[in-house]
Amino acid sequence: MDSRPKILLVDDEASVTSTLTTFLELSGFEVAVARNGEEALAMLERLSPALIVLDVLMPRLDGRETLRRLRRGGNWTPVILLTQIGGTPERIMAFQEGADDYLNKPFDPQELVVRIRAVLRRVTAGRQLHGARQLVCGPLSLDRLARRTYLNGREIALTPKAFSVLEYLMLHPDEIITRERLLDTIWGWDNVVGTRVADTRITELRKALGDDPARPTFIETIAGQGYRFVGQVSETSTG
Amino acid sequence: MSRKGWWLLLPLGLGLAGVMLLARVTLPGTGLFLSRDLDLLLILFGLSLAIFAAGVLIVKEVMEHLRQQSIEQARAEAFAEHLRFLQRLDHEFKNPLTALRAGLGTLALTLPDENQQQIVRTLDMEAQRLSRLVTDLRKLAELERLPPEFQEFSVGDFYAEISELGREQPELRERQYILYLAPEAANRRLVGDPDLLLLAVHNLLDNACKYTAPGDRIELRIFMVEDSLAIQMTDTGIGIPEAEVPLVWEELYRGGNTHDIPGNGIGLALIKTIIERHQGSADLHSRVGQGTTVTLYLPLV
Repeated sequence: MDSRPKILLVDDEASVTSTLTTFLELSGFEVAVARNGEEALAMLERLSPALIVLDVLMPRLDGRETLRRLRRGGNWTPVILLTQIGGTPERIMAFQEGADDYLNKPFDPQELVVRIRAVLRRVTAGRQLHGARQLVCGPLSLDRLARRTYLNGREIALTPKAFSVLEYLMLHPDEIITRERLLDTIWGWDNVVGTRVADTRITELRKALGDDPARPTFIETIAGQGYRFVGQVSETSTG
Repeated sequence: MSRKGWWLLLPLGLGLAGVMLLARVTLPGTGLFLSRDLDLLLILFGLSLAIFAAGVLIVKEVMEHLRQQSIEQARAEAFAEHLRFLQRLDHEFKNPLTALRAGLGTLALTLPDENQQQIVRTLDMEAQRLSRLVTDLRKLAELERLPPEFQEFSVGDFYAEISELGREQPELRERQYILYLAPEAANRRLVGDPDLLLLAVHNLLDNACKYTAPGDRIELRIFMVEDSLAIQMTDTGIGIPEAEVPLVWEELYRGGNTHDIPGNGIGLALIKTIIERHQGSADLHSRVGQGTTVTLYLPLV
């Protein structure tokens, strides 16, 4: 019995699927390949992969539509979206539509392996949160649809970027998130100079939440690496 | 004749004609200067001259307006085409680069020989360089495409943020770094995206550090110019050759004297895009071997 996690890789470009398959198999996964969204949905009827890596730009049913159909059909297999999704608002929407994570092409194949493992860890721990409308941690509650934050029942004001930072941290609890990752997801930059803006938002969040960086309830700084949300996050879906 | 010349001719012509008409009407029988018929001729001549001058002025205005319009249109079309090109470039490069890096990743994991491993590492670094170029260009194109998130904030607060930027540039410890905020600017307010503006200034600082040597001076000054805010970065570094100054704002452009200094030529293009989105402008002055001054102008509230 093969105990390696099974990945369904969906991409229309043969050079990408062949090279990635080899790399993923070397990294300890079993890989099945579909060339577009339609094929992927058909394969999912007889295959139960642990995770789907889904390219966004494909003919005959693109990645986001495939994802929507999957979720609407009640299939919550974790999904990592590949490729440039577009601007930041689209990236955030992708999370709301039920993607667990994303990776922009071109990427370091090792980065994909790291993301796959992180998502699988979250899922095994029963913490798949991306589809939730509300994220709750103790007195803190986030309404993702309305983009509002509540502390002890009272709404607190956050800039839109600070909200997105908090949302992302809470969707990846107990994971170290680098500044570069925050910049890429929320601002749409990665190595274009300047991670200070991420620090500024974290400072704003700490002030608004009354979170002491020395003894954090919510956001912890990992020296030299990034930030981590340390509270226990659960979801509530309303309606 | 200059525009001012034409403007003077008009009232002069009208005035002369008016006086002669008045003289004719109020003092019939007399000519102001000459015989009655000649007077009439002079009036008509004066009026015609005035009308002619007015006509020429009007035509000039309309033609100038049309000329400006077609220049604007040409610029907008060139810009849109440029954006489309960047998007096509990005689209075509991303899959081959992904496959390249995945293949190299596999080789890195499986090749037994250390020499071969070294070659793979070198190849992967080059693939990474290409990847970074492509994603930087994409980010630039996105910046030009997406609606920015603007808010109002004070110059003083912005200056406080800028002052912190120095912490991320270790080279500054070996430079003379001078910061200045003009007192009359501190209480003024800006409308914009503070993160983007911070990124622009950070790029300026990064460039200044890159193209200067230990001991050189870097000055960041914020002051008022008429009713606009000026953010000025001056350095005493290697400078930019005069012929290249108009070209440095283009993506991927790197000066001819920068061979030993790593960089991908995105910094100034990024700054230009950000400043234009803020309805501002920028200019650059430089002398090879003496240094460079870049000034960003932003409208104030």
